[in-house]
Amino acid sequence: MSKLKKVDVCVIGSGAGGGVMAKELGEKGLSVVVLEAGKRFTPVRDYTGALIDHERAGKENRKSLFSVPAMDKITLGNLGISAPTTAYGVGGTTLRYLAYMPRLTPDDFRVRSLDGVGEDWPISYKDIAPYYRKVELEMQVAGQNGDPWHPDVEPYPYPAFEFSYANKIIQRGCDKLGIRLWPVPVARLREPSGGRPACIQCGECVNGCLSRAKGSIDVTYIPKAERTGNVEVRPESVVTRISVDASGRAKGVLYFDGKGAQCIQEADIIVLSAGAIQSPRILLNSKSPLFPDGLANSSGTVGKYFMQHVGISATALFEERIDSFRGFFGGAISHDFAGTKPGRPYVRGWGIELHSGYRGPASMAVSTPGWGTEHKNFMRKWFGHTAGLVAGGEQLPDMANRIELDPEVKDAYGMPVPKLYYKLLENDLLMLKDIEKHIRQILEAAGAIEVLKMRCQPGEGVHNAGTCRMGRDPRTSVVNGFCRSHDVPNLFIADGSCFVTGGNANPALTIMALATRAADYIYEEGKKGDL
Amino acid sequence: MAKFFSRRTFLKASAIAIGAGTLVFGKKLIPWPGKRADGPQSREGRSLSGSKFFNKQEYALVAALASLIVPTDHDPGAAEANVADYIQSLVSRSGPRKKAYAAGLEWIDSYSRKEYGRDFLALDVDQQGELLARVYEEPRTSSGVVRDYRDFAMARLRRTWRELFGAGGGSAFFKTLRDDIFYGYYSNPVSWRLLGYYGPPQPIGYLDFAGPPRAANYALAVRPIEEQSCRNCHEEQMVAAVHPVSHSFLAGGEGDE
Repeated sequence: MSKLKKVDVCVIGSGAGGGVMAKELGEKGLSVVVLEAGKRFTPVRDYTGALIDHERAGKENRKSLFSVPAMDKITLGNLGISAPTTAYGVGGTTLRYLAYMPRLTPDDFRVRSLDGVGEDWPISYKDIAPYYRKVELEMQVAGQNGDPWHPDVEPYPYPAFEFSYANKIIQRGCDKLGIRLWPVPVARLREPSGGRPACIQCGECVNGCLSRAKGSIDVTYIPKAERTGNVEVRPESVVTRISVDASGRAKGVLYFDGKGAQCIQEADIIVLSAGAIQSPRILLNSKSPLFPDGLANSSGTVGKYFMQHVGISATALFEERIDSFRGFFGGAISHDFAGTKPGRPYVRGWGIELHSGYRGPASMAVSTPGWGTEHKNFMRKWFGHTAGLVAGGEQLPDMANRIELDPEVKDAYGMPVPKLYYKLLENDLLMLKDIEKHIRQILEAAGAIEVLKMRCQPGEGVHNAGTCRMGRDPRTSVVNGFCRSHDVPNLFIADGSCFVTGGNANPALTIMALATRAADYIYEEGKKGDL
Repeated sequence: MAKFFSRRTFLKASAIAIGAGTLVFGKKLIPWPGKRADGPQSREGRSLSGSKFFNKQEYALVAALASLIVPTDHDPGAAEANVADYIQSLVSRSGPRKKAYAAGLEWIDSYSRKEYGRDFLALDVDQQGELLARVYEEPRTSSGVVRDYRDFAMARLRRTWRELFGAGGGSAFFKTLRDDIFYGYYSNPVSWRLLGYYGPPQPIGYLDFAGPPRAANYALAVRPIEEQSCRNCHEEQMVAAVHPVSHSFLAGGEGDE
């Protein structure tokens, strides 16, 4: 086992949490090592957007390229769910995100006070707003401020992108029903900047952005971090444990490097940003006599309160030709149904995102049943006539939805794999029914001939969150409002797992803002000698 | 699984499964060749390594299946798009696909021999279509959008039953085959011409994304292939870097015939 030179900070994971941490702390002069389980990609070589068979290659990439087969297996504790979507690689899940950058609303931080469900965050919107701003500037977000749901946002650095034609088709329905749509703030470049080109609306965001116009962490924060000279990123480093010293402080990180050799990286401060599935796994696997239930787990809530956005995605056929394969996959959002509304049988709410349906002929062909002449005729007649939308609801945190270590299955490194227990609650199911009704109304009002596909797959969604939640009370939460562990003073957890409730916004911006805030805190406390 | 069933439903379900099982047993049972000791790998003329996995007969079988799934009419079909070559290159690059295709193609022939007493290729087109229709399973849709554990329990039961008694492996293989053929055909500019698709998305994207489709765009879909994939591209090198597969595929480098 090789022991590496001790550094100030060791960050586990390089996504929206870890990548931001590395840059912020590196710029403040701290020496940082980032351990990332996945590979480092070269977009122009590894991504598939320019291949003739880009649809199949992209689909395969989603399964194979952005994974670490030796460690990323997950088992499912109950029927009716699928494995959650994740992506591994330098940049984390931002490699595959759509770069949506909406903020949470002030109400999202005090769900318990307002609705008596879930829990309040230990921080308020006011605490995080300046960090939202900082990240929005850093990511050169294109958006239009003054939307009806976040009225106090300052103007974004770039004007919003226009709605795609597919969005405009669905917009007809929303207009008829009085649903307000707004261009979503996105971290895609309007103009060339920092060696990255402007977005050309190819729509391949989820398969990896070949042109680097999409602001994933690997093309924004990581290069800046490395330019400070203080940050070293080590890809293909699979972390298994965090060790502690006799006083209960985190001492070092045990990991396997790309060649399979075991290494120890010691650091004064350890930041865990491995995502809502891997972070609790690492903590639970770091059992020691001092922490018999897993590291930082005196509350017993590590791995608990797993949540996602429960959503339904629909694709419909329209009479007119749309050519919806053109442009960004999403584009327009509405939060008119977000938050608790009177007259609904459930609490909290959901958001709408318009999308463009099938991305190309092959994905439409494989989703269309049948074969032979009939199938070919269908394709000839209807290709280019699809558009759709997805609605995602705020799932309430529930202790029974959780990540545990699987006692039976181990990965190639001998570490127990995570096991997901996940069930939709009564409230979620009522919300889904309401979502389904509204989706049908919108599509009908927009003039859809037929709804081709309507799909809800619990567990498969993205936006995994909640498994190391923050809170004021050390008995019911894992970290405090600055992402600092209640139990282990020099351990920070900065990723989706510290969310208390999910809100309706896509989580990347909030994770990045929380990490930026935690980095400031680490620096200030470190200066005072309190770490 | 028992904990998801009430005892009563479970008994009912097993009764159905047993009943159906007998039915299938009573009829015809074609074993999935992947499980046999002398395995499909032993078939002559196959190279397990290298870029050409199929032997001549298998290649012809794949080409025939592709032509059934995307027939040629007044527009080009799978034959014109060289889908068999595409699948050849796909299978040769992937271990799991090699296994699935070796077993699956042999299964189709043995199924055909049981039903008609002849190899698949010796059947006439109508018989071939009839046979595929029997193997093809419509994807099931549940009553509601939100599926609960009962739907999944039933799906699992159906799958187990298929694997034990039915054309299970055959149907699963046919789904893979159907998807691969569609990917092959609809990823080929030959088909884009009849659909009016003008991909791939990179390297020029769709800057007209906000307006209605223009007829002028469809002209792009009928351009010669080489021009098509590099149109307006100012970075030749980038295209060379990102197009190796398509270039070699289009140049016929990986084909069999």
